[in-house]
Amino acid sequence: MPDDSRSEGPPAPRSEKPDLDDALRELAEEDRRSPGEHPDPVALLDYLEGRLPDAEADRVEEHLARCPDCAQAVLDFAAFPNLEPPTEEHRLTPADVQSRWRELQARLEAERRPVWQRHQVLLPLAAGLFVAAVGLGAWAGALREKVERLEGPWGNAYPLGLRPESAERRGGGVQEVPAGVDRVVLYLSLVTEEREYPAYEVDVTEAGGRRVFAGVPVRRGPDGGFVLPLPVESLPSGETVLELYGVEAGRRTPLETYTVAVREGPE
Amino acid sequence: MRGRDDVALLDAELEAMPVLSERRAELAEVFEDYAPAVTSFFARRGFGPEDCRDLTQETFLKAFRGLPRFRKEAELRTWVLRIAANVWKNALRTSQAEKRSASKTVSLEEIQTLAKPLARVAAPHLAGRPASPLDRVIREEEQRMLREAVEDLPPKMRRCVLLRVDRGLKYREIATLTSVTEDTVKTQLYQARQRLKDRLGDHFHVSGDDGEE
Repeated sequence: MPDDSRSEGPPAPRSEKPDLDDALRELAEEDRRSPGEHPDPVALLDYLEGRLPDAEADRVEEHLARCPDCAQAVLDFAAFPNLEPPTEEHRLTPADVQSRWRELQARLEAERRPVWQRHQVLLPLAAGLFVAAVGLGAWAGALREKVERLEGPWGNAYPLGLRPESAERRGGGVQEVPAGVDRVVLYLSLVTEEREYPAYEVDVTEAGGRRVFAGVPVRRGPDGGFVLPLPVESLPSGETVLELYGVEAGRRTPLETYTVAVREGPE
Repeated sequence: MRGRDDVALLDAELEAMPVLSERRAELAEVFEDYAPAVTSFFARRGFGPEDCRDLTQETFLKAFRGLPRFRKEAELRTWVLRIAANVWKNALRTSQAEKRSASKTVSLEEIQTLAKPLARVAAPHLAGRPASPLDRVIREEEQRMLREAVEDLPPKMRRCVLLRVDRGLKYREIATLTSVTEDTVKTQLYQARQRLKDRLGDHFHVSGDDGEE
C-alpha cells in the first residue's frame, strides 16, 4: 500500500484501519437523530400493502431506513397476528381475554339498546337538550345564512358546523339531516390562528380508513372558516374523518381534523 | 343513507347482516383470535398496560360497529389491522396535542447522548487519549469520504446496507421493509459491499462477507 501521507488529497491510510461496519453504524446513528417527519400509521400500513403512489412509497422507504420505530411497526404489521408482547405484564391470559370480551360485549349491547334505556339520568337531561335544540336551530339558521352569503345558493342543501379535533368542544358527533336533502354544506372552523396558504384542500375518509375523496379544494371565508359542500349520498354511513390541509408549492401541510357522522332524520 | 359503491355495502347486504346477538359466537371467536395480538401491537409501540387495554377495546368496538361495512372478500386480519392503525394514529394525535401543551425539558443525559462524539469508532486506536489536530482532520476526512460513498449508492442498495449493518435485521425483514425479495436483498448487500470496498478499502477495514443470517 503506497504511503502518500505527504501528498495532497485524501488522508493517508493508517496502519490500523477503522472497521467499515462500525463507521457505518456511527453514520446511521447520526441519521437517526433526524429521521424527518414520521409517516402516520395508516400510511405505514398502506406502504406494506403496496397502496401508496411510487413517490410516497419511496419517501416512506427512505424513512424506514432511518427510523427504527417506524420500521418495527411495519415489521409488526407484517407479522400480525403473531406478535409477542414486549413484557409479561402485557401478556393476556385466557381469563383476561374472556373478561375483556364480556366487557366489550356489554358495551356493544348497550349501544344497541334504545337510548332511553341506556342511562337513568336521561329524563332530566331531555329538558336541557330541548332547550339546547331550540338554540341549535337558531344557530343552524344563522349558519345557513352565513354559508349562502359566502357561497351563494345551494339548492336543497343543509348546513352543518364542525369544530376540529383540537378544540375543547370538538367534532360534530352524530348529526341528523332532514330526509330529502341533496347535500350537506360542512362549515369547518379553525380554533387556532394558522398562517395563510394559497390554497386549501380536504381529504374525506371513512373511520375504517377507506378514502372517499382526496384533495377536494375548499375556499376560506372572510371569518376564517371553510365551506365544503358534499352530496349526501357520497358520505359513508358511519363516522367520517375530514382532514384539512394548507397547500403551497404542491406541498400539503395538515392543519386540522374533523370527525362527524351524518345520518338521515325525519323530513 | 346509501354511500358510493366503493365505500359502502348495498342496502340489501346491510339488511342481510345478522344482528349482534346472532353473531355473538362469531365475534367472540374473532376477539379471542386477535385481541392478544392487538394488545401486543400497542404494547410494542410503548403504551402501558392500561392504555393497551383501552386501545384494544376501542379497536374491537370500531371493528364490530363497522362490520356491516366489512367486505367479505377482504381478509379479516387486514380489517382488524387497519382499524388498529387508525386507533394508533388517533392516540398519537392525542398525545402530540398533550405534548404541545406541556413544556419540553431536555435532561443532561439526553444532551450527553446527543453530543456523543461521532468519530470515536472511526479511530479505535486513539481511544483513551486526546486526539491531536491531525487525528481530528483525518477522522473528519474519513467520515466525509464514507458519507459520500454511501450517498452515491443507489437508494435501495443504501437502505439495505443501513438496515443490515446498523440494525442487524434479517434478510427477510429487510425484504419486507424495502418491498423486494430476499434474494434481491442479498444481491444488493453483496454489490454494496464490493462498491464500498473498491472505494474505501484503503481507509477502512471491510470484512469479506455479510455475516450469517
